[in-house]
Amino acid sequence: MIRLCLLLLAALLGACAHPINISPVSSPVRDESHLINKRVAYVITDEQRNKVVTTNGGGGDNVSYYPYRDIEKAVRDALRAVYKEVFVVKSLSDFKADTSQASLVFTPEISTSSSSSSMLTWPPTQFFINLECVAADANGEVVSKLRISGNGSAEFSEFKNDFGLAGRRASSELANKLVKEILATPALQ
Amino acid sequence: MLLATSLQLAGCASLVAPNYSPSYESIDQLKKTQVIPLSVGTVLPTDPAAKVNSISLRASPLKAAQGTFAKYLEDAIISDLKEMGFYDSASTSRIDITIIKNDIDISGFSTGTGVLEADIKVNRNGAIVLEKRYTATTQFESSFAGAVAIPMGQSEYPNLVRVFLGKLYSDAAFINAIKK
Repeated sequence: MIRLCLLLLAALLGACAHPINISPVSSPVRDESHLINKRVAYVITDEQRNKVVTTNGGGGDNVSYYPYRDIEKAVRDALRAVYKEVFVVKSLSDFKADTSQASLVFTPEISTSSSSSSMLTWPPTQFFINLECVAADANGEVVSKLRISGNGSAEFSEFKNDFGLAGRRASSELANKLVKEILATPALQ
Repeated sequence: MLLATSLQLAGCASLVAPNYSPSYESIDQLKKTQVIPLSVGTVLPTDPAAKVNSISLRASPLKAAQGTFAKYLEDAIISDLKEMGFYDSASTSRIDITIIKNDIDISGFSTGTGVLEADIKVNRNGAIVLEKRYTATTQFESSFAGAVAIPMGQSEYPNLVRVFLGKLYSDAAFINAIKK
């Protein structure tokens, strides 16, 4: 009977994905004296913000999270570390309808994967984020396509209080790389 | 073994609330208003032993990295005011907050709930121009399994604060109290 109960409990746990948060641990520094004097937007739709993704955890379990909702801070803080004014729009048509003279709009597409080297614990020890970001000017003409990745890893001793730590570290790395990539792209200056 | 470690991960550790990230749409909307420079006064209670500074997720304590949930909320609103360009720590116009309720409840097997209630006071150059209680409630999917329900409750906390502050920033009485 006890064995049956344990099997049932294990099946219940196995059938569910463990929720984690992958918002960045830290953000790029915004230095007011070195900002590009531009007003820029980025697009995140309601559908993206509510999207839940499930990827691999450890021991055959899965983890679930909101990639856009959690990584939005990384994208926004990266843009704010470069540009004077940053705001979000729900669609490109909202951007076109904006009358505030924004000069660039970034449309990010995010994909993620995760894994664990542990057979005994479910939080991921490795997390990977891929960001493809199309930048267009005020007329909608594409001026640049950025492709950046963020990697994060975490050990059991670190993530026992913060199950999404590998993902949060990947988000932070992504934000820092996005700043560097924008600064290295003349069309985005 | 995974079952045992899942239960250990979920049932024994002291959990930390994830970092706050705002409702950027609310922030961008409020940014369009001309607002006076604001400081943040006291966010109470500062006592870590106060009931609202303690959340239990099926016997696993949820903590704020800042030490108290009052400080978590203080840091969140300061961060938002900075992002909007309204923050001035020396301003004599300030926002004071007293938290009344603060809880994430995952005792149910299918649904979890969050509640954050606080009194907000806006003091404008010595005159109180707003005293109002704001309440945010959230509902989220939960589970019989603690290894699912507990991290779900943990992940919900920044969302609860986001909903609370989003409600504050879109409230006409609050906007009237802080606009130029």
